[in-house]
Amino acid sequence: MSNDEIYKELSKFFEKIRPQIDNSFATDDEKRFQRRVGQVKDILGNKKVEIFTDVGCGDGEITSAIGSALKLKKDKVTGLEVYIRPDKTYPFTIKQFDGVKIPLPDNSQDLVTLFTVLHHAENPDGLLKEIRRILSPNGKLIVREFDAKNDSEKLFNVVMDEMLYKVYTSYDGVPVREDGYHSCSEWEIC
Amino acid sequence: MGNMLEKAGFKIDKTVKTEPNNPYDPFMTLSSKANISFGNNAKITSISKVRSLDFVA
Repeated sequence: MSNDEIYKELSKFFEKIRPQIDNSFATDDEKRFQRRVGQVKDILGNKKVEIFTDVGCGDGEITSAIGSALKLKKDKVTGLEVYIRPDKTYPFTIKQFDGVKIPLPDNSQDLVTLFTVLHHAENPDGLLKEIRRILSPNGKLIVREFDAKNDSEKLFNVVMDEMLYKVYTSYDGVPVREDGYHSCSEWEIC
Repeated sequence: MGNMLEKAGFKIDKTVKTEPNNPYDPFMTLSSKANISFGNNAKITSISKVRSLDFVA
Protein backbone atom coordinates (compact mmCIF):
# COMPACT_ATOMS: atom_id res chain seq x y z
CA MET A 1 0.00 0.00 0.00
CA SER A 2 1.46 3.36 -1.01
CA ASN A 3 1.61 6.36 1.31
CA ASP A 4 -1.15 8.09 -0.69
CA GLU A 5 -3.40 5.04 -0.29
CA ILE A 6 -2.69 4.99 3.44
CA TYR A 7 -3.55 8.71 3.70
CA LYS A 8 -6.84 8.13 1.84
CA GLU A 9 -7.85 5.28 4.13
CA LEU A 10 -6.99 7.31 7.21
CA SER A 11 -8.95 10.28 5.82
CA LYS A 12 -12.04 8.06 5.53
CA PHE A 13 -11.63 7.04 9.15
CA PHE A 14 -11.24 10.63 10.36
CA GLU A 15 -14.31 11.77 8.40
CA LYS A 16 -16.43 9.59 10.70
CA ILE A 17 -15.16 11.23 13.88
CA ARG A 18 -14.42 14.73 12.51
CA PRO A 19 -17.28 16.51 14.37
CA GLN A 20 -16.07 15.27 17.74
CA ILE A 21 -12.46 16.19 16.98
CA ASP A 22 -13.39 19.62 15.56
CA ASN A 23 -15.41 20.36 18.67
CA SER A 24 -12.55 19.36 20.93
CA PHE A 25 -10.06 21.47 18.96
CA ALA A 26 -12.38 24.50 18.95
CA THR A 27 -12.47 24.58 22.75
CA ASP A 28 -8.71 24.21 22.97
CA ASP A 29 -8.02 26.74 20.19
CA GLU A 30 -9.50 29.67 22.07
CA LYS A 31 -7.34 28.93 25.11
CA ARG A 32 -4.33 28.42 22.87
CA PHE A 33 -4.83 31.76 21.09
CA GLN A 34 -5.10 33.61 24.39
CA ARG A 35 -2.06 31.84 25.77
CA ARG A 36 -0.01 32.64 22.67
CA VAL A 37 -1.09 36.29 22.62
CA GLY A 38 -0.18 36.60 26.31
CA GLN A 39 3.25 35.13 25.61
CA VAL A 40 3.83 37.54 22.73
CA LYS A 41 2.87 40.54 24.86
CA ASP A 42 5.05 39.30 27.72
CA ILE A 43 8.10 38.76 25.57
CA LEU A 44 7.67 42.11 23.80
CA GLY A 45 7.47 44.03 27.07
CA ASN A 46 6.78 47.71 26.36
CA LYS A 47 7.96 47.55 22.74
CA LYS A 48 5.71 49.76 20.60
CA VAL A 49 4.37 47.96 17.52
CA GLU A 50 2.59 49.88 14.79
CA ILE A 51 2.93 47.42 11.93
CA PHE A 52 3.25 43.66 12.07
CA THR A 53 3.79 40.73 9.71
CA ASP A 54 3.29 37.06 10.46
CA VAL A 55 5.47 34.94 8.19
CA GLY A 56 3.85 31.57 7.53
CA CYS A 57 0.52 32.64 8.96
CA GLY A 58 -1.30 29.37 8.20
CA ASP A 59 -5.02 29.87 8.67
CA GLY A 60 -4.44 33.34 10.13
CA GLU A 61 -6.10 32.72 13.49
CA ILE A 62 -3.04 33.50 15.61
CA THR A 63 -2.10 36.40 13.31
CA SER A 64 -5.49 37.97 13.80
CA ALA A 65 -5.43 37.43 17.57
CA ILE A 66 -2.00 39.08 17.88
CA GLY A 67 -3.07 42.01 15.66
CA SER A 68 -6.14 42.57 17.83
CA ALA A 69 -4.16 42.34 21.06
CA LEU A 70 -1.71 44.94 19.74
CA LYS A 71 -4.69 47.13 18.74
CA LEU A 72 -3.60 47.27 15.11
CA LYS A 73 -5.91 48.13 12.26
CA LYS A 74 -6.19 45.35 9.73
CA ASP A 75 -4.21 47.31 7.12
CA LYS A 76 -1.27 47.24 9.54
CA VAL A 77 -1.30 43.45 9.78
CA THR A 78 0.09 41.25 7.00
CA GLY A 79 0.14 37.50 6.74
CA LEU A 80 2.56 35.75 4.40
CA GLU A 81 1.88 32.18 3.40
CA VAL A 82 3.21 29.68 0.87
CA TYR A 83 -0.14 27.90 0.84
CA ILE A 84 -3.08 30.25 1.33
CA ARG A 85 -5.91 28.15 2.74
CA PRO A 86 -8.65 28.09 0.07
CA ASP A 87 -11.43 27.70 2.63
CA LYS A 88 -10.34 30.58 4.91
CA THR A 89 -11.13 34.28 4.93
CA TYR A 90 -8.24 36.34 6.23
CA PRO A 91 -9.22 39.54 8.11
CA PHE A 92 -5.93 41.27 7.24
CA THR A 93 -3.65 41.69 4.21
CA ILE A 94 -2.67 38.26 2.96
CA LYS A 95 0.18 37.73 0.52
CA GLN A 96 1.45 34.54 -1.04
CA PHE A 97 5.20 34.09 -1.16
CA ASP A 98 7.70 31.43 -2.21
CA GLY A 99 8.99 30.69 1.29
CA VAL A 100 12.05 32.92 0.97
CA LYS A 101 11.56 36.17 -0.94
CA ILE A 102 9.26 38.45 1.02
CA PRO A 103 7.12 40.89 -1.00
CA LEU A 104 7.48 43.78 1.46
CA PRO A 105 9.76 46.87 1.48
CA ASP A 106 13.01 47.19 3.44
CA ASN A 107 12.79 48.43 7.05
CA SER A 108 9.00 48.41 6.96
CA GLN A 109 7.93 46.21 9.90
CA ASP A 110 8.09 46.75 13.67
CA LEU A 111 7.37 43.13 14.48
CA VAL A 112 7.69 39.87 12.56
CA THR A 113 6.54 36.56 13.94
CA LEU A 114 7.74 33.21 12.63
CA PHE A 115 5.69 30.65 14.48
CA THR A 116 6.48 26.97 13.86
CA VAL A 117 7.53 27.77 10.32
CA LEU A 118 11.27 27.11 10.18
CA HIS A 119 10.78 23.34 10.10
CA HIS A 120 8.80 23.80 6.86
CA ALA A 121 11.41 26.04 5.24
CA GLU A 122 13.58 24.80 2.40
CA ASN A 123 15.97 27.71 2.95
CA PRO A 124 15.72 28.86 6.60
CA ASP A 125 18.87 31.02 6.37
CA GLY A 126 17.55 32.85 3.33
CA LEU A 127 14.18 33.38 4.97
CA LEU A 128 15.76 34.86 8.11
CA LYS A 129 17.85 37.24 6.04
CA GLU A 130 14.71 38.41 4.24
CA ILE A 131 12.97 38.97 7.58
CA ARG A 132 15.94 41.05 8.74
CA ARG A 133 15.63 43.12 5.56
CA ILE A 134 11.97 44.03 6.16
CA LEU A 135 12.38 44.77 9.88
CA SER A 136 12.74 48.40 10.94
CA PRO A 137 16.05 49.25 12.68
CA ASN A 138 14.46 48.70 16.10
CA GLY A 139 12.25 45.90 14.88
CA LYS A 140 11.76 42.62 16.68
CA LEU A 141 11.51 39.07 15.44
CA ILE A 142 9.81 36.39 17.49
CA VAL A 143 10.59 32.83 16.45
CA ARG A 144 8.62 29.93 17.82
CA GLU A 145 9.89 26.47 17.02
CA PHE A 146 9.81 22.95 18.39
CA ASP A 147 12.58 21.51 20.50
CA ALA A 148 12.79 18.02 18.99
CA LYS A 149 15.52 16.57 21.18
CA ASN A 150 16.01 13.13 19.62
CA ASP A 151 15.15 11.01 16.58
CA SER A 152 11.89 9.80 18.16
CA GLU A 153 10.63 13.34 18.75
CA LYS A 154 11.69 14.39 15.25
CA LEU A 155 9.83 11.43 13.73
CA PHE A 156 6.79 12.11 15.92
CA ASN A 157 6.59 15.69 14.66
CA VAL A 158 6.95 14.67 11.01
CA VAL A 159 4.22 12.03 11.40
CA MET A 160 1.94 14.59 13.08
CA ASP A 161 2.56 17.01 10.20
CA GLU A 162 1.71 14.31 7.67
CA MET A 163 -1.46 13.52 9.61
CA LEU A 164 -2.48 17.15 9.82
CA TYR A 165 -1.78 18.23 6.26
CA LYS A 166 -2.35 15.03 4.28
CA VAL A 167 -5.01 13.23 6.29
CA TYR A 168 -7.00 15.46 8.60
CA THR A 169 -7.03 18.55 6.39
CA SER A 170 -6.64 18.86 2.65
CA TYR A 171 -3.83 21.41 2.97
CA ASP A 172 -1.43 19.32 0.94
CA GLY A 173 0.28 22.46 -0.36
CA VAL A 174 1.97 22.90 3.01
CA PRO A 175 5.54 21.64 2.62
CA VAL A 176 6.45 18.88 5.09
CA ARG A 177 10.16 18.20 5.37
CA GLU A 178 11.33 14.89 6.81
CA ASP A 179 14.58 16.55 7.91
CA GLY A 180 12.92 19.78 9.08
CA TYR A 181 12.87 19.21 12.85
CA HIS A 182 15.79 19.94 15.13
CA SER A 183 16.49 20.41 18.81
CA CYS A 184 16.78 23.86 20.30
CA SER A 185 20.55 23.54 20.40
CA GLU A 186 20.75 22.16 16.85
CA TRP A 187 18.80 25.14 15.58
CA GLU A 188 21.03 27.38 17.70
CA ILE A 189 18.28 29.93 17.81
CA CYS A 190 17.72 29.89 21.53
CA MET B 1 24.31 24.72 11.15
CA GLY B 2 25.90 27.57 13.11
CA ASN B 3 23.89 30.15 14.93
CA MET B 4 21.16 30.80 12.40
CA LEU B 5 19.86 33.99 13.91
CA GLU B 6 23.25 35.59 14.40
CA LYS B 7 24.35 34.58 10.91
CA ALA B 8 21.21 36.24 9.56
CA GLY B 9 21.96 39.46 11.44
CA PHE B 10 20.00 39.17 14.67
CA LYS B 11 20.94 39.26 18.30
CA ILE B 12 18.98 37.10 20.67
CA ASP B 13 17.29 38.95 23.52
CA LYS B 14 15.38 36.24 25.28
CA THR B 15 14.17 32.65 24.99
CA VAL B 16 11.22 31.16 26.84
CA LYS B 17 9.51 27.81 26.85
CA THR B 18 5.95 28.18 25.62
CA GLU B 19 4.38 24.81 26.29
CA PRO B 20 6.33 23.16 29.11
CA ASN B 21 3.80 20.36 29.56
CA ASN B 22 3.33 19.68 25.87
CA PRO B 23 5.19 16.80 24.17
CA TYR B 24 5.88 19.15 21.26
CA ASP B 25 7.92 21.19 23.76
CA PRO B 26 8.22 24.41 21.76
CA PHE B 27 10.15 27.52 22.66
CA MET B 28 9.94 31.16 21.64
CA THR B 29 12.89 33.45 20.96
CA LEU B 30 12.80 37.22 20.80
CA SER B 31 15.49 38.74 18.58
CA SER B 32 16.54 42.23 17.61
CA LYS B 33 17.89 43.35 14.29
CA ALA B 34 21.64 43.56 14.67
CA ASN B 35 23.80 45.98 12.74
CA ILE B 36 25.45 43.62 10.31
CA SER B 37 26.36 43.84 6.66
CA PHE B 38 26.46 41.07 4.08
CA GLY B 39 28.38 40.73 0.88
CA ASN B 40 31.72 39.54 -0.41
CA ASN B 41 33.50 41.40 2.36
CA ALA B 42 30.82 40.98 5.01
CA LYS B 43 31.81 42.56 8.25
CA ILE B 44 29.98 42.44 11.53
CA THR B 45 29.91 46.01 12.75
CA SER B 46 27.92 45.53 15.92
CA ILE B 47 26.42 42.39 17.32
CA SER B 48 25.51 41.51 20.82
CA LYS B 49 26.33 38.11 22.23
CA VAL B 50 23.70 38.49 24.92
CA ARG B 51 21.95 35.18 25.16
CA SER B 52 19.92 35.30 28.34
CA LEU B 53 18.12 32.00 28.45
CA ASP B 54 15.14 32.70 30.60
CA PHE B 55 13.31 29.41 30.72
CA VAL B 56 10.00 29.70 32.50
CA ALA B 57 9.22 26.00 32.54
